[in-house]
Amino acid sequence: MSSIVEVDDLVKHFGGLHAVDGVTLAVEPGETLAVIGPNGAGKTTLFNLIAGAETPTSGRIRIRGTDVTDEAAYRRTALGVTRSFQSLGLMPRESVLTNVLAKLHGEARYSVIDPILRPWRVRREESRLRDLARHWIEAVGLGDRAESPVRDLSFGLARRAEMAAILATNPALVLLDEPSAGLTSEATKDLLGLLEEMRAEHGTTILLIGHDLGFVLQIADRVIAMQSGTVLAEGTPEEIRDHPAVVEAYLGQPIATRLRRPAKRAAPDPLAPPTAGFGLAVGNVHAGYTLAPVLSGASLAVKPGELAAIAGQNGAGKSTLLKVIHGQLGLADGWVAWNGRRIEHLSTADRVRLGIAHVPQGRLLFPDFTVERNLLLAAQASGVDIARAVELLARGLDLFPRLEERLTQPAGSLSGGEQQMLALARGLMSDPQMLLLDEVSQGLSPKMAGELRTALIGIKALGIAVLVIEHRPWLLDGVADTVHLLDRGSITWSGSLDDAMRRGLLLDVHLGEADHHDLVGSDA
Amino acid sequence: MTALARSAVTTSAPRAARTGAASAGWSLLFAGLAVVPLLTGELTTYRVGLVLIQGTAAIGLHVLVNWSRQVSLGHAALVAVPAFIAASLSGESDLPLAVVLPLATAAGAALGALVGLPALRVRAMQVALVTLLAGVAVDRFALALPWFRRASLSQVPSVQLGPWPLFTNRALYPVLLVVFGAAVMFTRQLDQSKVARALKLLGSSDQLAQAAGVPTGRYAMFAYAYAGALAGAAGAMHAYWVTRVGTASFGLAASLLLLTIVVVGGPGSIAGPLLATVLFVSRDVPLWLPALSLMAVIVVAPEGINGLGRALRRRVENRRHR
Repeated sequence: MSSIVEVDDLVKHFGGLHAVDGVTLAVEPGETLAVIGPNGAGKTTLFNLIAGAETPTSGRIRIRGTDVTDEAAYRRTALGVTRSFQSLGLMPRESVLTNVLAKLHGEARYSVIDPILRPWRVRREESRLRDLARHWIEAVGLGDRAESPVRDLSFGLARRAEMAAILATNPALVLLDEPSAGLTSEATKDLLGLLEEMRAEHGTTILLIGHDLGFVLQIADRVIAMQSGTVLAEGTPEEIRDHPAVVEAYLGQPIATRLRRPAKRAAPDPLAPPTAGFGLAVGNVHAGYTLAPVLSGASLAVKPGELAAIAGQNGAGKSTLLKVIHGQLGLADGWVAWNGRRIEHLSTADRVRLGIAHVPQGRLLFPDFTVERNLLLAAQASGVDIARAVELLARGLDLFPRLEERLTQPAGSLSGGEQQMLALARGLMSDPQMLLLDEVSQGLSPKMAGELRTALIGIKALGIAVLVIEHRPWLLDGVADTVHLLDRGSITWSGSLDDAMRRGLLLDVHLGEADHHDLVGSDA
Repeated sequence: MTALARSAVTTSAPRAARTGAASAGWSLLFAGLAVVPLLTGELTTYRVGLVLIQGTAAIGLHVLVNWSRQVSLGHAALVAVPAFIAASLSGESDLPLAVVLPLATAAGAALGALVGLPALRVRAMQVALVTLLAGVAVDRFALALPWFRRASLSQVPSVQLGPWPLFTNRALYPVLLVVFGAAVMFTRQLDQSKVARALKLLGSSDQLAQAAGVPTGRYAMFAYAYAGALAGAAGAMHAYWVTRVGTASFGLAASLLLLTIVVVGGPGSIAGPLLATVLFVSRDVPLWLPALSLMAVIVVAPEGINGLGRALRRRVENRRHR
């Protein structure tokens, strides 16, 4: 039998970004193929290309022998392709049953106007579909929740409902997009069981992408590791796990020149009330979305002038934590304190005025304005007076000399890395005492990342506290005072970078082996 | 599957019970509506009739807005054009209701599909703009054409049902009730089919609908055509009911009122928009009422009248947790 999916020299460019750059792969009947890779490796784009959500720049995609490269996504569904969504492919308002029925759209053998012209025919067909849907809802153990709206289910149960919908279509190929993201370890185990059952009983072919290597390596027959849009390595899960190139891709450059520093420990007492001390403190924060609670009891503290890094897998809640600190997302429980004062009730604008600046993922610059104007606007927007703004501009250009040459260029004409620098410099224009940085090094070339590291050292030298989402050790080395590990919504370990490295914790963030829950409090 | 054994109990009872209760509710409503002309005078019957007409159009817009999450900002135009067509065909051309009503409905559907044509390719903003422009264009230009103007000058003749002329609104009322009943019935049948599910998927996200195998463009356009068809039927009935058509009834304010009705009604059952219709149309309500209701919907109950129960439940629970 021929391959279920054949991808031939697939290329996808977004402007200058080569998200997928010549990928060739095949998925054989009955096998589970996993595509892994660090952030920005091109997994999601590859997935979207195969699912039909994006059109490739060049290359071909064949599904069960049919060339579908130029076909809309819904036509691929007709060929037996079913996909899951990272954020759940379900309608939250509708019941589990309705959602499963909705996924069975192609199974309903009547026309669009038959409900009006021939209702009896529709009724007969609907009753058949309902039986089919119920069968699968019961098969995943949701029989007693069939009538519940999906939004009343936990994320784990909702993921199961999605699996029921996928199974009901009797798919030839299942595409899974980060299926374990956001699941508790219990629900992850649950999902693993379900997938294994699916494979054993139906011989389902699965293509999945994931960050959670612990999960991926358990379920996959074969793994493809991607980096910068290309296939880096291919092999069995064991081969990939030990593949030196893969390990390096995940962790960045090898740490050859490490500064030896006395290990500092700054693990906060997670449940301590806001201290009278200065700096930022976050206690027992619960937050997230109705269907997917993201933070469940996260606590950490950052002292004035300290540079702290948050590391954790995708979906662990890193960005959410920064948003909660900055006030873009409300919290369900817990507190945020700044210089000894509770601020969780304050608006984002007020927090900026108190000196907390946020540089979000995806730069959000004004592309038509010059670099200078982008910077000065930021100062103006946060109420800094002109004289101070000019000082701040000079300070920013000291930190990012590359921007000085580009001062009169439109921000949109800068390279990706330079835009990232500009976003950072802009964050400093509100004259903050603390900077929150969300994955600022993402997509940077090693050279640019090196400049970023220098800039971080400079920012620290100014006495500005920094909380950065980053897990590449070489970027943090000699810069970060503290590393906090965020796992499934709470901080499970805090300590120095050296300590984290010695324990192999950062490696586990990527390769997903350790259960960090065991490490709480065992930090000796 | 081993998991199958774990939970082999079928739980079809609640759904059956719920659909049963809903059907009983609708039967009761129609029984009540049927006796309106017997128990009340001409004026009350006339008012109830206006609610039914507006309700018919609202049901169509509900499918478009609350199912497929698309917008028609000039929906009154889709009522107006068929109304003028009906007035002209029955007046000048002397055609019977049995011909005029289907023609007006088809005209509404065609106009809806035309307005929704951009939905084949894009969603949201651009299409909404087209609907707004179509509304203004109809209001300002189309209805000013000589053919339409003539239609608005003369009175619409009474409906002739076989040998019986239906001179009064009370006599015409059963016909209107049948049209409204058909709109309710067809929409409920649609709601129990893949069509409603496809439109709701579309309302959730295009990608989601595509992943379920829904040809999104065609379904998006179908929603416009369906809303147009019901608007057309409502337009024809308006012509017969009011016996005169004028541009005043179909301006932008009328479009916004219709939209407010379905937003205040909220996603879910067609009962919500119908209740909102009763609230806003049964008597001459001051304009601040719909505006205020809309604000209440946005702030307190984002899912409108349909979601009121849930919203209240949540409030009570939250208070208890505090």
